[in-house]
Amino acid sequence: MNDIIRYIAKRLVIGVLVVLFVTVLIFAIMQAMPGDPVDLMVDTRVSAEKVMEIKAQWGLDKPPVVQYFYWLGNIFQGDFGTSISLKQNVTDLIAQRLPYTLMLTGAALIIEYLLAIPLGLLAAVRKNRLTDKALTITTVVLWSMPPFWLGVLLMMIFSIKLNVLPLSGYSGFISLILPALTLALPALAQIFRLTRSEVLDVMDEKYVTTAYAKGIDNRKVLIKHVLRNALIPVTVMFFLSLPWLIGGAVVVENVFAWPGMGQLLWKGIAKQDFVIVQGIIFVITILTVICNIIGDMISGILDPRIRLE
Amino acid sequence: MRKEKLRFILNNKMFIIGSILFFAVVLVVIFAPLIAPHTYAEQSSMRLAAPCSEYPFGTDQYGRCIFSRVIYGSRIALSVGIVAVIIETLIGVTLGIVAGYYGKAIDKIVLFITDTTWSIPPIILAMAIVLMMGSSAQNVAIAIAVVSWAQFTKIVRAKVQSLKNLSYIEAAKIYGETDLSIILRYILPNLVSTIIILATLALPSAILSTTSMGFLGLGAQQPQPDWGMILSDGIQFIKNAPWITMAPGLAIVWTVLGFNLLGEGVKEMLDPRLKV
Repeated sequence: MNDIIRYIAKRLVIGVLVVLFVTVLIFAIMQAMPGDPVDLMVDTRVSAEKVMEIKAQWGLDKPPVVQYFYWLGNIFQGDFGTSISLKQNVTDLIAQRLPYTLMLTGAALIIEYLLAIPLGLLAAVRKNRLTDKALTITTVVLWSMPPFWLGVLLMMIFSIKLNVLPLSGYSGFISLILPALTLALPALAQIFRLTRSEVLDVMDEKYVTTAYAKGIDNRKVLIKHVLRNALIPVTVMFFLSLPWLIGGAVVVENVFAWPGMGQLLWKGIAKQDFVIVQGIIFVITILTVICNIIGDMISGILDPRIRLE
Repeated sequence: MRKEKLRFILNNKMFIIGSILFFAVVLVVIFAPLIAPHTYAEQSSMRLAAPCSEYPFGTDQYGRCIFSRVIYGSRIALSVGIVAVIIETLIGVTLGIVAGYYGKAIDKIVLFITDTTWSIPPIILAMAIVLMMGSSAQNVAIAIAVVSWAQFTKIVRAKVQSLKNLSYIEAAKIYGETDLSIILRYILPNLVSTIIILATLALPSAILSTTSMGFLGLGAQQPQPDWGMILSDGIQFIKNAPWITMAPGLAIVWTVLGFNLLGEGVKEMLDPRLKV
C-alpha cells in the first residue's frame, strides 16, 4: 500500500510542475505574438495617451515577468481576466462553454469504447478470417479520414439528403449525434487495434490454456480471463487518448458550429484575444494533466510492476 | 503455419495497396502541371459549376477548377508533411539518444519536457505556435514538428537504454572512444530501422495535422490551394455545391491511407514487435 501512495504522490508533484511549466510556455507564446491587442481593438483616431491609458488599465504596460505573476495569481483565484474583444469575463465564457465540450467529448468516448472493445474482441477471436480483415480495413480507412471531412459527409447524408438530423449548432440532445460520431469514428481505430492485439497476446498466456483445459465455457474464458487482462492497457489508453480527443473536438466544433470551447478558442485566435486563448489552453492542459495522472494511477494500481519504475 | 502465411499475404496486400496509392501521389506531385487542366489560381465566370468535362470536380465560388487546385495542393500537403517529419525526427532522435545514453539528470529533464509537451493537445499547441509565428505553410511544418517529436524520443530513449549495456559498446568505452563516436558508430546504426518505421508512420499524421490546420485557416494562404482550406471554404456551399468538399476530402484520405498502409508494411518488414 505504501508504494502506491508514494507513487501517486510522485505523480501529483510532477503534475503540478507540468502545469506550472505549461503556464510559462503559454505566457511566452502569447507575449511573442505579433500585433498588439489594444492597437487592434481601438480606432486609429484614438490618441496615443488614451491608448496608454487603456494599456495601463489592462496591466499591459508592466514588464512581462510582472504580468506573468499577476496572471498566475489571478488564475489560482479562478479569475482568467476580461476578454479584450468580447469585453466579458473569460472565466464566465469558459464556464458557459466547458459543459458543451465535455458533453461532446464524453459522448464521443462512450461511442468509441462501446464500439471498439467488442469489435476488437470479435476481430481477435476471428483472427485472419473475413470478419477480422473487414474490420481491420474499415478501421484503417477511418483512421486515415480527416475528422472534418467525415463530419461534412455525415452532414450531407443525414442533414441534407435524409434531413433527419440538425445540420449544425445546438438544439437539444439530437444535435449531439453527428459531432459525437465525427469525433468518435476516426479515434475508434486506435482502441480497436489495441484491444485486438492485447486480446491476441493474452490468448497465448498459459492461464488461458489452463482455463480451456479445465473445460470452462468458451464465452466465460473470453470475458473473465482474456478480456479482463487485455483491458488493462485499454483502460490506460482511455485517459492518455483524451488530449487527442479534445484537440479533435476543437476542429469538429468548428465544422458543426458547436457552442463549445473549441469555437471560443477559434474566435480568440482570429481576434488575437490572448486572454481567451491563454485561459482555454490553461483549462485544457489542466484537464489533460488530471487525465494523465488518473491514467498513471490506474495503471500503477492494476499493474504493480509499473510502480517500481 | 497456414494461418501465419495468410496473415503475411494479407499484410503484404495492404503494403502493395499502400505502395500503389503512395506512388500515385508522388506522380501527381511531380507532374501536377501536366495533369491539371487549369492552374490553381485561374478564375473563370463559371462560379460554383457542377462537375463537367471542362471541370471534372466542379468550380468554387471564384470559378476556380477544384480538380486543378486539389492536384496542385498535393505539393503543399506533401512538402509540409515531409519537412515536419524531418524536423521532428531530428529533434526526437537527438533528445532520445542523449536521454538514453547519458541517463541521470539529463534523462529526467528530457523526460519532463516530453511529458509536458504531451499534456497539451498537439493541435492546440500547434495553433498557438502558428499564431505566434504567422500563418504560412513553413510555420505550420515547424509547429507540427514542435508538437510531435515526443513519440520519437520515448521509443528511441528506451532502445538506447538497452543498447548501452551491450558488451561491444562497453568495450568501445574502455578503449577510450569518445561518446560522440560511440553514438555515431555503434548506437545510431542500430536505430536505423526504428527511425525509418517511426518516420514513415509519422508522415500520414503530419499530413492530417497540416490539413486540420488548413481547415482552421492556418497555413498556406489564398490563392494557394491547401486541401484543408479548400474543404473549409466548401462547407458554406454544402447545400448548393457539395462537390467542392469531395475532391479535397478524397485526396486527403487517398494520401493518408496510402502512407498509413505503407508505414504498417515497413513496420511489418523491419520490426513487427515494435510497439508504436
